[in-house]
Amino acid sequence: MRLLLVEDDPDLADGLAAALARAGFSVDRVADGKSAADALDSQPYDLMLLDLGLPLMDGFEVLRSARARKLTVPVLILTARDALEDRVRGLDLGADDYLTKPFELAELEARARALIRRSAGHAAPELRVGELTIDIRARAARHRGEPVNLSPRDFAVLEILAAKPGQVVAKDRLVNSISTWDKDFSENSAEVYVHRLRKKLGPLGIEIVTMRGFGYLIRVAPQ
Amino acid sequence: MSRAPSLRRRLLARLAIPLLALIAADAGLSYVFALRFANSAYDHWLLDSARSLGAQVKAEGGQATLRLPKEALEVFEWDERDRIVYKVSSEAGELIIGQRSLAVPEPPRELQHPAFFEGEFERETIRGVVIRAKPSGIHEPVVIAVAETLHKRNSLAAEILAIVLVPQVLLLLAAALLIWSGITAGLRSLVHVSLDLARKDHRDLSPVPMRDVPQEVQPIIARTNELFGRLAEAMHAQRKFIADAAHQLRTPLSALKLQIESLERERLPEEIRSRIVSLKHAGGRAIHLAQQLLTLARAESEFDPQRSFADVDLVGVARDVGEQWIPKALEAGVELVLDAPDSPVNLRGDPTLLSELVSNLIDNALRHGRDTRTITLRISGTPRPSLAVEDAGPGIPPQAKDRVFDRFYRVDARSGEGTGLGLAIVKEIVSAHGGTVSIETRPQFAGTRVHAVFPGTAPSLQSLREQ
Repeated sequence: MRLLLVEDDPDLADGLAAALARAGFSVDRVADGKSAADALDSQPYDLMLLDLGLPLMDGFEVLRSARARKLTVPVLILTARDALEDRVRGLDLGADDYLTKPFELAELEARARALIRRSAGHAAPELRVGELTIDIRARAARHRGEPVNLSPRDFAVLEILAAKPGQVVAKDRLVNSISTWDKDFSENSAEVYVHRLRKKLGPLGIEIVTMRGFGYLIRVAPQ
Repeated sequence: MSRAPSLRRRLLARLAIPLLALIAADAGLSYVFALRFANSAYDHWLLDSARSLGAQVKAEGGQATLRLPKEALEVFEWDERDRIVYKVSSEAGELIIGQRSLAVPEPPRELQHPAFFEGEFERETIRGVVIRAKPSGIHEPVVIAVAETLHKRNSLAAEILAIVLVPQVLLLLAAALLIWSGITAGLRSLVHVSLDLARKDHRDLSPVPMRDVPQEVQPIIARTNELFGRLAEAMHAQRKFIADAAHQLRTPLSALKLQIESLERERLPEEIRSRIVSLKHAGGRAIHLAQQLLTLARAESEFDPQRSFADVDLVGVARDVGEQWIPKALEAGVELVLDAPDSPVNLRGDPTLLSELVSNLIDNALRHGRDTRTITLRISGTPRPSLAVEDAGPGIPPQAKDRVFDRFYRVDARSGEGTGLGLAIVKEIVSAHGGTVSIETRPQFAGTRVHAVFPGTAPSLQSLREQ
């Protein structure tokens, strides 16, 4: 996976390039906006990591001109500014995601992979929570290779929760995404379906935690 | 404020005091003139009386005598209001007729020439005339004096005075009334200006509108607006500096963090690994401190609501920020609970700062709530938008309660945890939104509860008048 890193701070660029190379990316580095634009023209990249404050041509301008030239390379903005309008402007100009400095390396890697996967068109064919694997296309779940017996409704709930393992899914989001095809699924019955799924997953070491006021969260049960 | 000089009172005093003095002087002069008119009218009558009395003096055996019938004397002496006295005497001073006790000055040498005088008769002030007359058949002239008390004259003078003075006093009162109402009307526009100023958000530095402002007041408002302008410029400069500083500081910190994290993944001897853990901890604290300082500076420089304030749903902010904190809370064995109404709770605010506010409160509760099992985010829309973050931890010692909002104050300074800026940021952000923040702890509250209340609406006219 070829990645263009546009960052003018040499320390950060060194660190990022080394870490990303170690993570299996092949990294091209440029330190100003003009070189970034040239690099984008010279060959296709799977992802561009773009700093906003750049010499010669700022990040917004690099992004704008790339999109104007119909370049569809996924762009992850690395910004030191936390002003909302900067983020909104970046996303409006066609960035796919942003990270505010200083960020966690693990988070950068995860988001970079997600962006590359999404642009390659194979968005999350398989979800994973601990030893539970969820095959979206086959609409089936397996635990250590053994099929888990789930109703279509159980599977729908699991699919939505497992898309964000360890993170909370708002109850109304859950209800909204399922009730479009399942009219019986309502705010009141959600608790019942979640409870049923929880009973099935519990013995497998997977728990669904109710976060009062927020929603539900799926995770590997702590030992 | 009551000690400050009143424009109305000062103007009235400036005008009323000279006007009163003028009227007093005018009254004095008028009285003198009125008295002169009264005197000249009545003096004439006195002189006539003296002359006609003189005409009645006859020679009788070489002696001057005056015989008048009783009726004639009564007519002569009769007057509605004043007492009339007379005295006819020889030049030598022998009384011929009349009041002996009437003191009379020396008359002029020339016959029939009057001399008017003032004096006292039986304890009353009198004015009289004295002449020398020489009736036919008499060698020696006689001295005739007629005098009367001053009641008629005084009341005539008083009447004249009143006719002159009353309209003047009425004029003065009318002028005072007109001045008072004129100034009040003029000042009304100042009240509007002060309402405009009071309605401004405390960080709103936009100019005050100049509408309906009297010319005399315009310079004050123009200077105030200029000051606002200069302040806004300075604030803009500060804001830009902070944004630049954020960028400059964050980039090397990112590099530092990244290098440490890469290093952590290397296969390394145990003693170096433990140093990297310390390095990571120290780096983490430096990053956290830098972030907190930047947030604090940003909250302080938040002065231009038109620019960055928008309608923000507090429930939405708490939900988003809470969701981000849930993994960390679960890791610490803490359940994060959101207790909020189903409908949005809107307020005018900066979404980034409000997120920082919620984030800092959760962070604070996680750090200091220690053995709490739950942290509750409680949002309410009534009576005003409010946010409370509650934990069931050990609480804060009473002596620390007043200081927790101070910058760099830490309840447990030895722990090496936290920057001591969390609650200072909370306070700064709440006050940037015109709200108030308070803290409750044991024994009143079973744990610690930080409560922020935001203003619902702009200050009312009523509350401004009450000031």
